[in-house]
Amino acid sequence: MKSSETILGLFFADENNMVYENIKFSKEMSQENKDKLMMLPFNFFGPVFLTEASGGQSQWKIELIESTISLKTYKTQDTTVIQSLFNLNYSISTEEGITNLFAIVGSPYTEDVRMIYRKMKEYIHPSIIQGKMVNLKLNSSAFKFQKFVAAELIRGINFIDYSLGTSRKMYWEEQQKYYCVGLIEREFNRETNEKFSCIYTFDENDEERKKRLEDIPSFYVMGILPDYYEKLSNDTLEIFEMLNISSNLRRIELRFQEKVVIYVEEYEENLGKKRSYGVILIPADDSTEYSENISAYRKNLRLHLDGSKTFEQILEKINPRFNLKKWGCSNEEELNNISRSLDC
Amino acid sequence: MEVLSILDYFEAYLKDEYTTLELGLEWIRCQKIRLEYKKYLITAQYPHDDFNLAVDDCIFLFFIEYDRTIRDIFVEEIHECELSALYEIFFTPYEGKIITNILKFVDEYKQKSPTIFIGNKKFNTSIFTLRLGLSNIIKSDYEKVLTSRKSEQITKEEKFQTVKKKPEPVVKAEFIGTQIERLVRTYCFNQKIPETKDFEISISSFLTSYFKFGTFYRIDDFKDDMIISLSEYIYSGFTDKAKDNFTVADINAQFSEELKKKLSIISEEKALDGIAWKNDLSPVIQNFLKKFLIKLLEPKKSVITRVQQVKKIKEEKVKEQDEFSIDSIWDLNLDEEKFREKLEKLLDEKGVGTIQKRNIMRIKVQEFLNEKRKIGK
Repeated sequence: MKSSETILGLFFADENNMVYENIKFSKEMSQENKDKLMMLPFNFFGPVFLTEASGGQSQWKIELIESTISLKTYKTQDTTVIQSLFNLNYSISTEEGITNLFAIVGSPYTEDVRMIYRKMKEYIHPSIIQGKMVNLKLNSSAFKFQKFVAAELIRGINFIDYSLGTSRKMYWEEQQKYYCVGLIEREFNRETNEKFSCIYTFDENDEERKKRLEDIPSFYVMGILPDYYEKLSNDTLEIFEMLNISSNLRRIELRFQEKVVIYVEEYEENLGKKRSYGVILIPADDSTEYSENISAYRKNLRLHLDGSKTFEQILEKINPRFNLKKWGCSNEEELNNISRSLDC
Repeated sequence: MEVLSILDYFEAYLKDEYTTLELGLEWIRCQKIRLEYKKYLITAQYPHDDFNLAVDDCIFLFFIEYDRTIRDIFVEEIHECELSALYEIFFTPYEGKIITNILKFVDEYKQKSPTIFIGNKKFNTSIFTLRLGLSNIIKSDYEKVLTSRKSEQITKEEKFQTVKKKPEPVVKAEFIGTQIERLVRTYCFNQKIPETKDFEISISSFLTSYFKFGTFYRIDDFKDDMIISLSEYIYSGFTDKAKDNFTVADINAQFSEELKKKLSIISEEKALDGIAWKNDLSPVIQNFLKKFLIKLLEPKKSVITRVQQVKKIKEEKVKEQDEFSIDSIWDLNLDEEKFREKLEKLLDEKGVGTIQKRNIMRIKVQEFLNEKRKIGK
């Protein structure tokens, strides 16, 4: 596979949040883009660090950010289109702190995301942590971590690159039902660059909101993530000079111990105006009144986007306990309001 | 290998519920895993033959899972260096390495593979242990795969070259004009110009015998051959009577002249495909052949062969010499020198040119001497 057809980067953040990176790029890339490329790891790690820190005792970790790709114009002649664009993060907590291994992958194939995640989780990240410990033990003074981690990232990126393009396997897994704790509405005008986003959720005085707060990092974090990562994915495509396509956020997964939060989103674009609706889901249990599988949530979101059902009908279907109050999350002030009203 | 001493060494670290026999069975299992892993390695194509990638890929696919299994049968106290040594022993082919002293063998790993404790808890360094124990085996196996691939490639190439070396019998291209020969012969007998179609067929056959489609020719490659061949085939089609009037050289000269006129626009360096040459040359040859055959029918009027020309010149010369009278100086009593002087003087008086004078003198002196010899003077 030619390097220009793929986006592949592997970033490692140690216990002190020092970031090391290895990114594959073509030699023809402009100097300006190469400079921007150096900032990518910090931009991608930003919300990871924020999410880990914002939950107090609950150190939520972002595991997956997946996007879909669409052509900006149907008249395009250039067909170098990537099929998959996703970011994976695997974190390891030790007594010294948390280390994160973050991968950004864009490929012309439908990749086996789970396989790549397994490689990061079971091999690449452990080998960095273990190698560091063993080398410190064997030659503590002479050991140069920066050199070591650079070599490990090269091995890691080659290891991921080797598996790109292999066929995606179908994994058997038990059907899981989910409970929706929030709905995010986003609007974006490509021409004017105007943005708007808000959250619909329980009433601020509803006990259910307080109860479900334990199951998510915070409404504040959940309100930030979709906009932030969608913009960052589009910036990444621009840096790699893939100008005829744009990315649309599809799924975000977060985990803290046994707890999981999944954010899934559907979008519709017309004349440069994009509308997206996403739901914040947690696994359903005996205490949850309403639950559906992910595809049912997606179907409901599409029904509204296609104009078959009104927003009120959808909100009622997704979670009858939600009210129609919009909690804006487009700017710092609105986000602080969410933090004060919904996250406590 | 000292199988028993190796099993005895590791028996000390087995959990209570496991025996040496089970450890021996694990060894056999490892060899089976090795077979599967080698099958995979034979087909693997690592970019730039990256050995590190081969190690990472194989450990991830075949050995990480097994590491969990084998650690299950040992007690927590087993050192990482011992596990690294165990991996090397279990995954090396039986015939591959001779380990006579297991203690020494494990000792070699002690410096490379420390067991790390954080507090009372053993720190997991399984990937590092696996890499240490298996890297050399995987690298060596992959090297063998690469060597075998290379030798296979060389064998294939050699085989290909051997097949290539057998040269196909080279048939030298030549112009075959038997049809032209037949056409000329028919014409000489019935003296009737053949139809255009017959010309086309015989010329096409002549040119196709040499020019091949897809092969490029420069004019110098074939010009001389073509002129000679065509002239010879035309000549061999002649009846004896026609042969008196023309030689091969005559036809040769005329055809060369025709070609020179018609093909002067084509660069000598320009290479054209065989079919292109055939198309270009067909009308030229047809035109020449038609004209030549028409001339052949009217030899009495206009066609004077070189043989006739030479004969005519000779006759004219003799006539010229005969017309010149030397009776006034003809005296057989003169000696040769005197006769020569008188003859020269006479010729000078008549104004004869130098070359002609020399010729006449040679002939007349010879005649004079012959006559003198006859009469005995």
